[in-house]
Amino acid sequence: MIEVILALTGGLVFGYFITLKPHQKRLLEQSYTTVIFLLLLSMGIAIGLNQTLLSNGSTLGFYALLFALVTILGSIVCCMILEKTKVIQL
Amino acid sequence: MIFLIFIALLGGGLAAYFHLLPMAVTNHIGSFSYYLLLALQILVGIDIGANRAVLNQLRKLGLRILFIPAAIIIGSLLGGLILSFFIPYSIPTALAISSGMGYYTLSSLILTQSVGSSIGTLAFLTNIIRETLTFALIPFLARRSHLAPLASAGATSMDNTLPMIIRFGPKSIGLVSIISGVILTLAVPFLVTFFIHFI
Repeated sequence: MIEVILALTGGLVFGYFITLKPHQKRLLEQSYTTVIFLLLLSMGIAIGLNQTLLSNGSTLGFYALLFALVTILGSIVCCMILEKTKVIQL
Repeated sequence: MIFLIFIALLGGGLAAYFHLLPMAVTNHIGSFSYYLLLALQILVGIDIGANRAVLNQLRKLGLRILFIPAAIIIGSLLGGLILSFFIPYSIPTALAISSGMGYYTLSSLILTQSVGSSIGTLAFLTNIIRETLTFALIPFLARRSHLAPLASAGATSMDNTLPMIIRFGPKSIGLVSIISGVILTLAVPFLVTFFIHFI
């Protein structure tokens, strides 16, 4: 956890003191997409390997899906209220 | 990009499930994804740090930025509360599970230790499904609302889902996403332990 925050802070400080040229910006975006792809791939593998997830798939998985859906939906609705009432404007 | 997401998730999942991967891969997948996450954090940091508009955005929003994680918590808890009337779980149990905000390691650990492995596993699955669904939903959500991807991501908007949020959102979303994710990550242990008292 500490490493994650350090990596982020390190990148932030480094980025703050440099100016990216257009081709460097493109390179940054390409490395982004590549790392995201690899991360999703390893997440897929982790799920495929997870016995807890697969063996309890039917009952617990059904309720888990319901919980995931309602929490996502509730949070989206509340955040959209913030946007519609113009409390937060990005 | 959306196509790539499904290929990666599904391909990885099926390959692992049918034992098509060498032991060297499956044994180290945890540390492998951790290093990928670190690499991503550095890239994300550079991207945000090099962008002057982000700092101005933050100055403009000020303390109002705290409304975002607050709305995400209230929304998730309301969703869990409504669901509890239709399923065989008590209101405090449902609220404790809904408090995970996608932070699956922590909330499921607390719940397994203090309530039991069944509720702990349910919390784990809920949060991991929330994160997986968020990955799939971000491209669609980002088109309709700037905050919706953050809302769906919950605590993961500071790390795992951050690159996707930045990739599909407006330039200014990165820092807002991190701040919201950090606050939610800090809030999860307090929320979960609070609701456990009433179970």
